[in-house]
Amino acid sequence: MNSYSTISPARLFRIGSTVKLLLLVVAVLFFEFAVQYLVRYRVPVPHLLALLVIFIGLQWEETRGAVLGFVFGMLYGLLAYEPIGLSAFGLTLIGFLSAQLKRHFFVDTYADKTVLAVCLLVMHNVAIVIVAWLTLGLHLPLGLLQCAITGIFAAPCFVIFDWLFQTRER
Amino acid sequence: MNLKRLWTYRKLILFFLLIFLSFLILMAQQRQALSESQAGRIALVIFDPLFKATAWVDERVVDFFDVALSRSSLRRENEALQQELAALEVRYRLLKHEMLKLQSLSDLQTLDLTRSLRLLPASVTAVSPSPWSRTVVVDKGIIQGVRTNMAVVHVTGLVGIVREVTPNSAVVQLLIDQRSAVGVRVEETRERGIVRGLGTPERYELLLEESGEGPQEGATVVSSGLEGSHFAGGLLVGTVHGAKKNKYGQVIAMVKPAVNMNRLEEVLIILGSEEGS
Repeated sequence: MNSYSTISPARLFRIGSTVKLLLLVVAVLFFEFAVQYLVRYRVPVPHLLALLVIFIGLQWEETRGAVLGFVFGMLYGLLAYEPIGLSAFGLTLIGFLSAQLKRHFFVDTYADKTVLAVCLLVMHNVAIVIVAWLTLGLHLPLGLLQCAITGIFAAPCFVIFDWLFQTRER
Repeated sequence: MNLKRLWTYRKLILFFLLIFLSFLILMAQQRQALSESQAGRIALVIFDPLFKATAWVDERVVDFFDVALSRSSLRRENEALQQELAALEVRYRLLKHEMLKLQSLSDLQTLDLTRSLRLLPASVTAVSPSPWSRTVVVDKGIIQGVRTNMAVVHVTGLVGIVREVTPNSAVVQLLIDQRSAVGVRVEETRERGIVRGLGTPERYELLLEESGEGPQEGATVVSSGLEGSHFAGGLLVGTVHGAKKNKYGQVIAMVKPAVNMNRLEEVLIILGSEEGS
């Protein structure tokens, strides 16, 4: 009896994408923690994890954006010692909305994606501030400077993500 | 038929379920049902090497640029420090001599002058990148004797409290975090109050118990150390910078932190007093 591998190329590609995504999440967390360690609390650090969730929503669809947003948000909340569920809520929201908005607006260039990312980041922060106030009674800062700094990093990050997942048409 | 219809809305249903789940988790925390987060501890243990790696890389990067860019100023600073060290050495010897003389006096032997705290030095290995959480991770944990709710100090004053401990690391919630609060006393007037974090490293908010005139500008604020508090009394919190009254007549003052949280690198964890408490 032959015992050849039955893993199809499509399945291999999916496994490769998942591994890449996991490594990318670790790299993004490494970047965020490394930059924050360097600057301490002098300036806000870019929220690359939020950009990754927006990218997932834009490239794939709502379900993947929302589910991965929730999972990454939980992980981020645990590591950053935030109130758990706060980032999960925000990232689920933008993961879902980025896919929804792509259906209704023409989002093609990196400039379009950057504008959309900044709008979603502001929405993410506003939603988190409201939810934290409603559920925990905390008056959190809006963090608009962080949105602006993250916006600067948006286009280069989308270029790297596109290159990594080969989602950009040539 | 209905199931088929539901299936067409499956994405929306999943989205609202996840949102609802986030709300439930947040509400559970408000009721303190999730205060001892096992998942958080496991995540910290798994990602501890990542934190240590970030700190290691960062320190090498900073060291490289520091040395490369400031060689001449480092030499000058080194000479100045050596002179200062020599002066301090002399002063230390004089003080030691005076202390020995004091100890020889029999009436002082009954006083608790030698009571000292057991302090554990720890290095900061990670800083929370979240704008809504002001916490740091230090490189000491259960193995070194660290437990939750232990106070953390810096040479210049009170830093925060240990909130989560793993075998080799601990999460310290800084006093500037919005979830932090400490019972305090204004040293000059002995007024009592509560200092709360505002999420910003520049200031705390001090709410005084009594509705008087309020503390003077520059007054020193120290921890009160009342029964039930996690902090020992007399730890420097900051200095008063401006005060006003709210609509209920309570005095609210702004306090400038004694510790520069932007430059936190080495801290001391108070394990207890020498008597073993």
